Amino acid sequence: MMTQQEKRGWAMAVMLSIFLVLVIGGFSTVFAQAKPSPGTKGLIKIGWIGPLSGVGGEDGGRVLRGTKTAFEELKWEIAGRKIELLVEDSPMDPAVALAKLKKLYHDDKIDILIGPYSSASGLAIRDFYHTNKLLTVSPQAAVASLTQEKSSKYFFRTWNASGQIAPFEGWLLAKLGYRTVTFFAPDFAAGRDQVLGIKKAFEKFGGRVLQEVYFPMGRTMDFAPLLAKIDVETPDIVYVWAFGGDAVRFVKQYADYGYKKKVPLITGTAVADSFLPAQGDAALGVFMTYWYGHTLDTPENRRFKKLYVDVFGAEAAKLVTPYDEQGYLAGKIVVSGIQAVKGNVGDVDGMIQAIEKLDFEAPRGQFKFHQHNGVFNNYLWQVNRVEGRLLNTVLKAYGPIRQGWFEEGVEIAERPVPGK
Amino acid sequence: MTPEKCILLLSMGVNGIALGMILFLLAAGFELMFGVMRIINMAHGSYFMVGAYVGIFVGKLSGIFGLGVLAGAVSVGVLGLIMERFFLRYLQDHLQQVFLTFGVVFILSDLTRMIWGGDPHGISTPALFAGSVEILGKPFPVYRLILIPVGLLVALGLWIFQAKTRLGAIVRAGVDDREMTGVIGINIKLLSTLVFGGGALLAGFGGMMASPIIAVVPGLDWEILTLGLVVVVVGGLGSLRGALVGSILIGLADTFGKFLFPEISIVLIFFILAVVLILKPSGMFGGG
Repeated sequence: MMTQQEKRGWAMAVMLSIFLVLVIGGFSTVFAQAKPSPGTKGLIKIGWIGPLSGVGGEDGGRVLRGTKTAFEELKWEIAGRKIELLVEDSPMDPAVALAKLKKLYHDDKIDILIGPYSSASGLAIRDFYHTNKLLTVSPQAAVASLTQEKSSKYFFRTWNASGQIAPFEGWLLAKLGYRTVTFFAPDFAAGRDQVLGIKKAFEKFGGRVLQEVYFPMGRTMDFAPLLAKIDVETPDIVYVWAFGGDAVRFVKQYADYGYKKKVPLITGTAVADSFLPAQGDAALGVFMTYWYGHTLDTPENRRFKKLYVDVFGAEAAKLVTPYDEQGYLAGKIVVSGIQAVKGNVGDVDGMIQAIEKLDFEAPRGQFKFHQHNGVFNNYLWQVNRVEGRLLNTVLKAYGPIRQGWFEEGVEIAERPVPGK
Repeated sequence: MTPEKCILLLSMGVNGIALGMILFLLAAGFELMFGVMRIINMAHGSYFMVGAYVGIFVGKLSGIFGLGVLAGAVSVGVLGLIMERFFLRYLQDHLQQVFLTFGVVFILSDLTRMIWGGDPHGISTPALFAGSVEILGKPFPVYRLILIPVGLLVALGLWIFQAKTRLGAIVRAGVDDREMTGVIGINIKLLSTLVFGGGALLAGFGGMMASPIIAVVPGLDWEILTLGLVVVVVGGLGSLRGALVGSILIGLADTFGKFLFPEISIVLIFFILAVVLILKPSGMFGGG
């Protein structure tokens, strides 16, 4: 016979299990985020996977906003068929990404996939989309193999492949006349790859790297002792690759300790528009290279920002980030594919052929594909005060830049700055 | 040893001490809680972070940094009071307390992310202390220098409180012998609640004071907790002196570690921890 204690223990276990089942059941229905529709006849189902929680969740949410905008523009209907976007949160975990994709494909019967976001997830789902002939348009998943050794005719990437942009930054540093540089980057694979990529190009075009300083990512509160290395050997320019808290701290402390007055600072990420409110005036005058920014004055970007005001309201549209733009771009590309086959999403080859031929104006400027990878311009920015707040403004434009340009010796031209 | 090298090392030294002061504000509250109530508050780093979030929010809204500091400190102090009065008081077992405060870390982490999002938040240095001074030809931010007297003042204040006031004597009695203190008629329950709130307030104060330098971002709670725990173990659990000396030591170790070998600077800190644990496990000034 069970004692009173044991009976209570079992009762508690049973109650907790029921509670858990209810919570899981309740949340899975909420999470499917299915749009109410008159019926499933004629519905085109598009899956979306990316991080909506945890690390990258903030930016993943922006990518999703952009994607939704692309469909919102057409009132969620193409060629007489309604669109349903099925969203799954895949917080940068490849195992989760694959599991969610299987659910979307087998249970929800998606026709097309937008995603994933992280490189690891991209590698995890590669064989699945290839075997199942599932058209997949990723707004990021930078790992180069997905459009090189492991390429698939069903996969398109609107972002740059890793190794595509870093050499551009090295080339640009040399072109702008800097002879020496010191790098600061977080100590992990992508950080080291980035520095290596820039270094190869910078040295090829005549530059010299003084120091490469790597710091533990996300755990460095005080950069002052690292910055002191600039006093030991002073370069023409300092390059930093950092994001999140590291970026905010680095830029603030770079100004606090007076380095900004002595040595110009350039970055590929650290003064993104979304970090500027936290950095304040410390970010003024810092240079950045990126292919999109809120103030980019292309006709498409003006239209895109206005669209955001209509869909999300003036407050949300106050800052449109590259993540919004890349989500929108992925959405628009899928839309083009569907339109080309007049809504007959069963004709996957037809959609692929149409997408391969795309060459159009995106908010970031001219966009097309090369080997299923994005080809677009890049810009040199500087942080300025615009209408009372801090934003990046364009100084120069270059391009177009495609996968493998550096290895193949393709020339990059300076281009007219949009809006000037 | 060139003069430039000397100046550089000196500047690093001042930096390390300033960093140590931030750690002290965190550690002091932690020591207070442990000393009186034997509670290991795993959520202490979270309190630091919440103090920064709330303080930055109020500071930016009002335009007055000092108001932000007050808001950050008081809001977290109240949070501490609530935690002790309604949750921790009902647990006697230390393991249970650790688990509870551990759970609070996750709750606060999610809550702050829900309210303020995943982007980093920061605030400009208050105008009064903005800018830098030239120390031997090298610019040094004024605000970091200010942190040193602020930290020392807090240390002094806490020492005076503990050694010279009646309330301080009561707190010390509670540390020495909790049961006897209750027996002689002191409301040990109220004391515990107030001490916990006070410790939390210190953490919130520290978080906001540090925010012009280190901003606030999801993950700061774990980041600062790690360093804070090292400080209290090295300094000695329950000792105010230990918290001060320990935090300065760790601040210097972190700074010089980064300067000399940036990629493995954390090794120096944990090496110190290991040495202390082997030679004097109760910490430098800990009574055990």
